[in-house]
Amino acid sequence: MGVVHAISLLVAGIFLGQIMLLAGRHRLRDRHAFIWVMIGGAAFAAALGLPALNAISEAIGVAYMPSLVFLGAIYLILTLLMYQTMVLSSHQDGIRTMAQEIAYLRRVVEMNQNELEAATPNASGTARPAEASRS
Amino acid sequence: MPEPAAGLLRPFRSSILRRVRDLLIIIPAYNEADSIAATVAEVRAAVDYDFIVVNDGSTDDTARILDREGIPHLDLPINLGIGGAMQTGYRYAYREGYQYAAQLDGDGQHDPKDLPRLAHALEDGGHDVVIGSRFVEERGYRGGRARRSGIYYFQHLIRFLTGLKVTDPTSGFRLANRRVIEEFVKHYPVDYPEVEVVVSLARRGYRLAEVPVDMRDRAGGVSSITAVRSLYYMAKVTLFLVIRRVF
Repeated sequence: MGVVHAISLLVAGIFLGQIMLLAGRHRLRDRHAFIWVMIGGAAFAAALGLPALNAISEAIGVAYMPSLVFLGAIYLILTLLMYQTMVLSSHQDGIRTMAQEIAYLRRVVEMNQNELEAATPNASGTARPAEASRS
Repeated sequence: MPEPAAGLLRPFRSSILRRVRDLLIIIPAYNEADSIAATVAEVRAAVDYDFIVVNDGSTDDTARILDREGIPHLDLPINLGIGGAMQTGYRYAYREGYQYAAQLDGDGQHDPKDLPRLAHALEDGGHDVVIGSRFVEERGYRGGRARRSGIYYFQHLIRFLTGLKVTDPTSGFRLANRRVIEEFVKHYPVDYPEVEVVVSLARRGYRLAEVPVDMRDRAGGVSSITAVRSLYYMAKVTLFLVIRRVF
């Protein structure tokens, strides 16, 4: 095992360990943890099979094997970024809907409070006139 | 002895919210403290429709003025932008059973006296949406050169994408029926929604028409459209309209 191979295995192992630690401590949601475990596993497998990657890159005509690895890694990172943006957009839509619901419910609560106050007799035994019906 | 706790917990609805209604005017307001009271006063004097101001997380005195003046309003806890604010109003209109919803800017640019004409055009013409247009007839509104260029650009973009001739595609003075309100509750563009809404509705087969109206200068506040934002507006709207047409 060469130095490069050993370092690749070490880094991939540390990365996989980090993911396992975060997933175990519930710092990552299960769905995201699963994706990261898959990626960490793939990185470790790639590090294990580093010699085979030389043969693959040679077979498909890539003279410098690390270029192939970086190409794959960059594609993976961009896909992950896109996925995270999708999750973010979905959360923003959720926050927007929640804010709209809060505004609506505030209004309903205020109207109900006004109606309650109007219906509750005061000390003199008369109810306060209800708010004008036109909004 | 009365049971206030039970009364408070009972999910009853205010009689005001239970009334059968027809048309709701939605007035989005973001930092419109200078003009919102006057706009509402004008609406009250001009027409007899219900209205609701959507305070889009304003950081000035808008919320205080709305409370102080007893103006019916929805208070968004955060700023959602014009699309989010309008959708809040449409969501309210839908929940409360309104048959029609009109949008009117909070800065006093739109004249509420034009609303009955929009309503008649919608009903008589069998349209789903009616847009108040500054350019159907020459009514003296000029606007800046950049604004007119933008409007001209969007006129042609809409024509290219839908075959529809819309003279004032950026007008925010609109009236929609309940079918469209329901559509807006499901989806309403987040920012710069006017042009996208026109294209989206036209492509879904909704019938749109324009009615000539007058528009005035802002009564207060500051327009959110700057030169850089205008360019972003045009690029963003064009890009997504084209993408959504293809995919």
